[in-house]
Amino acid sequence: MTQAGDYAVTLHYLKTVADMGVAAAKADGRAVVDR
Amino acid sequence: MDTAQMPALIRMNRTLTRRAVLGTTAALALPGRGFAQTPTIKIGVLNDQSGPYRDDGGPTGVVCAKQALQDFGISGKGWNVEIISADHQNKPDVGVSIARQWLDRDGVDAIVDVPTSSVGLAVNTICREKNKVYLNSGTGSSDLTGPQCSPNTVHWTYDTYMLGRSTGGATVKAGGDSWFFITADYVFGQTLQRDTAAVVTKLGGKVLGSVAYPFPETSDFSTHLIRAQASGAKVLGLPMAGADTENCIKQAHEFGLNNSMTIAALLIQVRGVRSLGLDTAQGLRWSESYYWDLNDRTRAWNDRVKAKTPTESGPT
Repeated sequence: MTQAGDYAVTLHYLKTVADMGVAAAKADGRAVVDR
Repeated sequence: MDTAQMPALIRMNRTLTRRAVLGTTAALALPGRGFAQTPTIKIGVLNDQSGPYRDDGGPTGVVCAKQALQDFGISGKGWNVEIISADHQNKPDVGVSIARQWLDRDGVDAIVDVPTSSVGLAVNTICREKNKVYLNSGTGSSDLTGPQCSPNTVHWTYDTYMLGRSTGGATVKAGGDSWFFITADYVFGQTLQRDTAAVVTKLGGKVLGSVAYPFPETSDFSTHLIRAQASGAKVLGLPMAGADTENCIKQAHEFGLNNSMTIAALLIQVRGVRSLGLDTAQGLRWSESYYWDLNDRTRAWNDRVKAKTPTESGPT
């Protein structure tokens, strides 16, 4: 489950970055988690 | 620099003086001078690549993060993703030093995995301090969403509360109402014992005793198993993980403990069960949030990743 979790959490992170924009994602980690 | 421009540059250099060429090269090396840089998200997978937690995270964990990037499909989106990895050796000081370097110097935006709760909790603090992202899969301690909860962390896969409640609760309800714990003596083992014991006692069960062993340097559990057997408890609870769990279960079988006690492997993954073999793993109780043979989607994902894993045993 740990490795499957590495896959899923990375995929969801990338979707979040795409949704909010790379510049905003790089600037504010807290905003990424909030999204 | 775009490689398509290289031949033109080389041709141009032939007609210039050495001094002028050096000047040109220096100017080209400056960031942002005439070339728009593609924005890049950098992800660092930080886990155990060489010790007892290697097989449950390790290189295959990195493969899984890269598979996520492939399935996401970055091409044509106008930005790039770079995935790097490192071995924290289950040591908080090593993990902290790598995390600081990644965030301060190497431009890493998010840190993924980080098993070993002592390391995970330290990385949790650093990511909060630097306003970066910690995408936790490997750390189990429920303190990550309790006393040390951070707005910069996602606790994704499992935690000690969920494992304790699921395996502990089901075992007590099945009649296993007296427990003895053999516990990895660091924050993960301690919180897993605490969270499991809370469920056991809440449901009317009793904890008859426990022993803590030094992590990660323990491979012989025999003295602890003898104490467990002498306690008269019905259930042997194992707040430990990775190779420790496998070693302890194998040795429990050598002592015949499985004939008198139910073994609750409070954290084991199906890879560990395969490694134990069906005979030794018979009768084990454990909980997981992922199983490869659950449905068509999990089987398809398993097939996609399996061929890329170092041992070809498939992801866990």
